[in-house]
Amino acid sequence: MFILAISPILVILLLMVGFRWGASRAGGAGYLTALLVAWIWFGINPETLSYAHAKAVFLILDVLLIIWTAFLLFRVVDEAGGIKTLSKSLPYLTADKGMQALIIGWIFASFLQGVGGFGVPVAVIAPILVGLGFSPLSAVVIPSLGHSWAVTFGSLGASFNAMMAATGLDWQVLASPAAIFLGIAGICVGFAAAFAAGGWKTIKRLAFPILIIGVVMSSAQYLTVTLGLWSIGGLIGGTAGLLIGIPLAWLYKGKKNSTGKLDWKPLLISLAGYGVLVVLTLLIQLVPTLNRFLSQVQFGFDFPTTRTLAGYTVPAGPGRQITIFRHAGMILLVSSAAAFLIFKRAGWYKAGALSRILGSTGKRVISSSVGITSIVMMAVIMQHAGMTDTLAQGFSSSLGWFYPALSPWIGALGAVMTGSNANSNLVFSLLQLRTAELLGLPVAIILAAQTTGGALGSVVAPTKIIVGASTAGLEGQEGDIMRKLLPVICVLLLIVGIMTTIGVILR
Amino acid sequence: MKKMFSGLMANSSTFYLTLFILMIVPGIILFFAAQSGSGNLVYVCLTIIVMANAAAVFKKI
Repeated sequence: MFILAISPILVILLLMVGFRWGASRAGGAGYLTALLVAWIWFGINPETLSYAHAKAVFLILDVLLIIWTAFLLFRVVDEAGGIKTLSKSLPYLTADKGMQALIIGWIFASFLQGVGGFGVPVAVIAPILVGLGFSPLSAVVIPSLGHSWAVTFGSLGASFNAMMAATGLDWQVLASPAAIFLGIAGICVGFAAAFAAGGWKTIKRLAFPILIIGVVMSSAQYLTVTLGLWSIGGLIGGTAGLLIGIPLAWLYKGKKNSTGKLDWKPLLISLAGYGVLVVLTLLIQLVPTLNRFLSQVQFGFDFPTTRTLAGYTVPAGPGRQITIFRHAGMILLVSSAAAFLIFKRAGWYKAGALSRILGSTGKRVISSSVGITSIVMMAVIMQHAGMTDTLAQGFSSSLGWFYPALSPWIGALGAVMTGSNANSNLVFSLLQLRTAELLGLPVAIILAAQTTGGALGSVVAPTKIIVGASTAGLEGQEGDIMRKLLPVICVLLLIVGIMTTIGVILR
Repeated sequence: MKKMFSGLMANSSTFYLTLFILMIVPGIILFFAAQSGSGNLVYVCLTIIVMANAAAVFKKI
């Protein structure tokens, strides 16, 4: 039964990694496999299937609202030339190669992950680093490693939201341990980025700024998410990194500082959209009256108890409730509109900008939306059929107390096979939760390991590597990038596994 | 009908948008179908979702 229960996941893995299918095709195959196995071997009946699908729809909408609007905001800024302005400004700060790698490939990549995600950090930064004289391979490897720690609370918290949606647990339970694990991973990837830029010499020379910047970025992210502002955790972490990194860059500006003059005005205008987002998020979270007012309209169903023909029961309870006017997606939508007006007033748009923004956003998100829909439906069917429970029991009986060390690898596997931390959290969070419960392990720590593993693993997802390779002119050399990244990611996952084990022992 | 179908298959974004709607809308209807005990409606909605997923699998980029 264990093999049958894991078969939908294996199908997705095989099709995406082995046959290089996209998430939308492989997700559909995973869904059909889950449905077939649930129907024939796990005795799921039409009524249970109906409720499972309806429950999945609310999880899907909850996750997609953020993904759609986060990309919309990114396109609003990008269409105005805001991302180009940011990218052009940063190399002025220092001529030190190692420091350039840190400022652009680690800090700026983390900031871009905070505001955009979806492979954007690598796609934007790889060509900049090539332009600064880095080898194409290093230009892809440095930002790939550099942004990884910011994935969970980046993309306006889409991956973290996915974990909350899949497990039904609140941010109060999940945010703190996840931010600690990701923060430590953040410092480690800073060192890894420096190593990729210039080996041990660069690490030795820049250990002090790496530690300072790493601690500042991690602490800023930790404080933000533990205040309930999880949707801007990555953004605040990246911004704090830029604020501390810029003065540090002047200390390490190298022998030949070919900086010219930095024009601050366009730089500040290009950040305006994200400024609006931060202000709105802070207002909604910190002003209780406004929060209550916006929380009045909620969509969601109350679901009855379901039972399969094999006797597996899912207790009654509310599904995911979508508080539409307080939803991170709505805040992003308003921020996008405000940013659009600011850029339009500043005269930064050419004619037809709005249709280009909407068109490219639709094109970019719709195929992945189908993939996410299929994968979430698959995961919820597996849960309602008792397949997730069977997997959890299999893992807990065979791995026992070794499970904490393995949990980040499961998250990473999910990210590699589905191409994203959010998808990994949707597929595996519930499995990790059930296994932790069966073994009596602290759920929050195991889920922190899941999402940290997912964030790090997403770096070596074939879909992301292809994006990086294409922007750095390395088409057809994806295998070389994978070979460079894989050992580093494995070391980082080992470290996370050790942290998880220590966390479990200390609790 | 044939013209409409081939037009749909030719445009990737429209194709995926159609699939997305065909997965989400029946998914919501399924809740009400299960509540009202309408077996036929349940089967119709499930068939649409299964077909949409199958179409995603067989779509070549």
